[in-house]
Amino acid sequence: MNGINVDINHLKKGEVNLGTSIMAVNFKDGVILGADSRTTTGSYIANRVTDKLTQIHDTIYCCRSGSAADTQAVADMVKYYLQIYSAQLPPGEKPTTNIAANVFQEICYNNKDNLTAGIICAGYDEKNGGSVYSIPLGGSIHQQEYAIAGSGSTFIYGWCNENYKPNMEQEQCIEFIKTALAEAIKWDGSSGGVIRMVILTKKGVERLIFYPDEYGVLTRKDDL
Amino acid sequence: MFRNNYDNDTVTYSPTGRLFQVEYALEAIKQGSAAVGLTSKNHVVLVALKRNAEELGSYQKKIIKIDSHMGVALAGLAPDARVLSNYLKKKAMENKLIFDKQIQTYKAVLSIADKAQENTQGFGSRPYGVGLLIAGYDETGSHLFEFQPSGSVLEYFGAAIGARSQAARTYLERNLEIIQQETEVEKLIVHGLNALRDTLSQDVELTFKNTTVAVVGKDQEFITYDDEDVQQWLDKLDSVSNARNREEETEENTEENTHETNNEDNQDHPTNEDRMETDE
Amino acid sequence: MKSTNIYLTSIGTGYDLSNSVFSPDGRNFQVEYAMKAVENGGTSIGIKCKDGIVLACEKIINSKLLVPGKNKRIQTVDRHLGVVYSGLLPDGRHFVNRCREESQSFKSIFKIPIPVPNLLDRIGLYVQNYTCYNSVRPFGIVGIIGGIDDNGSHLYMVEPSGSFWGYSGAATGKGRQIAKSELEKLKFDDLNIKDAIKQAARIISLAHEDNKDKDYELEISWCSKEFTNGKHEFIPIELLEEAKKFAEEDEGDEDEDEEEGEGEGEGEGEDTEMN
Repeated sequence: MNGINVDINHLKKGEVNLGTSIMAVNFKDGVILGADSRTTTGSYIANRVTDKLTQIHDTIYCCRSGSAADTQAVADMVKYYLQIYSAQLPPGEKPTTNIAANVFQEICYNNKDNLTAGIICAGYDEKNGGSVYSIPLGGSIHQQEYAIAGSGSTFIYGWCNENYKPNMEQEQCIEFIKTALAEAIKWDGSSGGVIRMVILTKKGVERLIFYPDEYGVLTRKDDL
Repeated sequence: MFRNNYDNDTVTYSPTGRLFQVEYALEAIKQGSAAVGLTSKNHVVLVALKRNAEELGSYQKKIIKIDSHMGVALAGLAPDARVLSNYLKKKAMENKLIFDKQIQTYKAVLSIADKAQENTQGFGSRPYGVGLLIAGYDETGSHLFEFQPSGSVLEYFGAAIGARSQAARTYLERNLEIIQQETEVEKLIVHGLNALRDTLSQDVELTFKNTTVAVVGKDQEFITYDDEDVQQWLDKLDSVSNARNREEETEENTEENTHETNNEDNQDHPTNEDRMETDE
Repeated sequence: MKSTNIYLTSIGTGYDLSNSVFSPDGRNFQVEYAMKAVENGGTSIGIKCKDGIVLACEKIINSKLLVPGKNKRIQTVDRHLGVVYSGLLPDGRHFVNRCREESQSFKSIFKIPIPVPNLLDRIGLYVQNYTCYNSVRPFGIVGIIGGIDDNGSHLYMVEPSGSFWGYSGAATGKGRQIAKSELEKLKFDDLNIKDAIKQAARIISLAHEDNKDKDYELEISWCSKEFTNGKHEFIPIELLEEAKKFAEEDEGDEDEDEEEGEGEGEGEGEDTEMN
């Protein structure tokens, strides 16, 4: 891809795609990541309950979008680098989200010609609290208060911009993500399934799952 | 064949922590004829004594230009000096290409220092057998460095390498303050030739054939003078043969003896020491 | 035990002629001989205090023709990291170049300055490698590395064997015994960095006593959150002069006290280390 000729066939024939809606949002006590669960091979849904929220370290996760194979491989590499790195830290110390995000960026940039990976790296660490980094297609890195990515995200830019508030309470933040993703799933053909969330705080990791009959109501009530 | 078990290669320390092969390489410098370098605020001068293998042979090149602002004088294995100076030339060109700026003298010199060090820590290569005096003028002024095969590089006001170079160093030490104050290049060259003259053996005189002079400095690109061009400065010397040999022609003086006399004569000794203590 | 003792088990046995060879009692003599090269070099020290680190070295001046203030022995590896070493100086340059490569390589992956322990981990491996093959020789230096990172100040010393330890006060080179015994007297917990600079000057000056016939130049650098913004730098000229003055005045006092005791203590220490 050179910016002039966009390669719309970047996936190999039959390659599994995470046509996706993912996001991560900072809130008062840390950060919450959210994702849909649809994985497609062309028009076929290869997996309808995919987990696109992948653990990199104790309280560092990433949301993967793009090629399933590429993003899994990159996540594995970052995980490996972070293990080596944290083995050298003083006892009890943990790597920061910043470190993990920068390793993602390094790998995505150096291999930009061979990768289809749009990643959001988010985590909680003692030094910085919650933090969110977006590493889009070319291999750049952007620290943000919240990040959205994947094919479904295009439909919710405006909504998120309008409804995001800094320092939300946990419940408020969950509701924000749930509504946003529900909207993305509704309009994006390649997003769907359940909504998964991971909450990363001082207390550790908490996982949530929401089924279509629950989150579907959120968007339906407006339409009716 | 070998002096001891510890001097076969550069990867063996002696029990006292010495590297004999590297030390022997330093000896190779003394096999070469002398080269002298000296600095003033705005100039650096290199002078060297050329040797010819036989009467009808040409004289060995002793000074190599690296760039318009830098050049080297060598003592020891000339082919090694060619390798190192080619490397310096390459570095100088790279610097121009990348930074659009002439390479700083210290940077150039450290590049060959690191190159030479590699040859002292691995098996299968020998240390370089040549000493270099690197003269350069850059945005930080005039600089003179002495390079050794061990990979050591030190910056000097004045330095001498090669056969009997101790005599030249003694001259430079004695006249250090005058030399540093010197504003005229001509006088700096004469001081250099005086020092070089002190290294001559009995049967040799400085002639325009065996003397080579190079200058670099403020508003003065590196330039080497040979043959007839050198005569102008030889004319300014009170003598073209070694003063020591003239005075003590009958006396069988060994090198070391002479040095000791020189040092004892040296009246500037204590003052020089003071200067080094306070300057920083 | 006299200091010649080391040689009784090494010279003539053939086990000391090649690197990477163990003697029957499990020693690598070439590494020990490399240490000898260090022990003849000018003294280097490092001090770690609450608010930073100080590195200092005694640079022996072998010629009046050397340009004062040039030919620096303390070098900067990264903005927050300094190194000083004793022994074969060209080996020291090799060592520092490698330190720089390692810290750049770390930064290129993780995008943060390399934490000091990470650098030591990497450089320790590199130095160790030079004890493993008969095609190379061990480094003829001991390096003292100091710096500041997110976890505070760090001071380490790396030996030709590749082993390294953290220190509050580290010393190597010819005057290390005197320097060590002086360092041991310091109260590192409540030493501030400006006092550490003065102490460094004093200790180098004391360590130079045995080598008094030669001139030396004092080099001091520091790394402090408060004064250098976490960067490794040479100390300003005023501080250096102040430190030198402090060392000189102190030297006057010391002479009156007990010069003999000092000398003997050093001799004993030397023997102990040989065993």
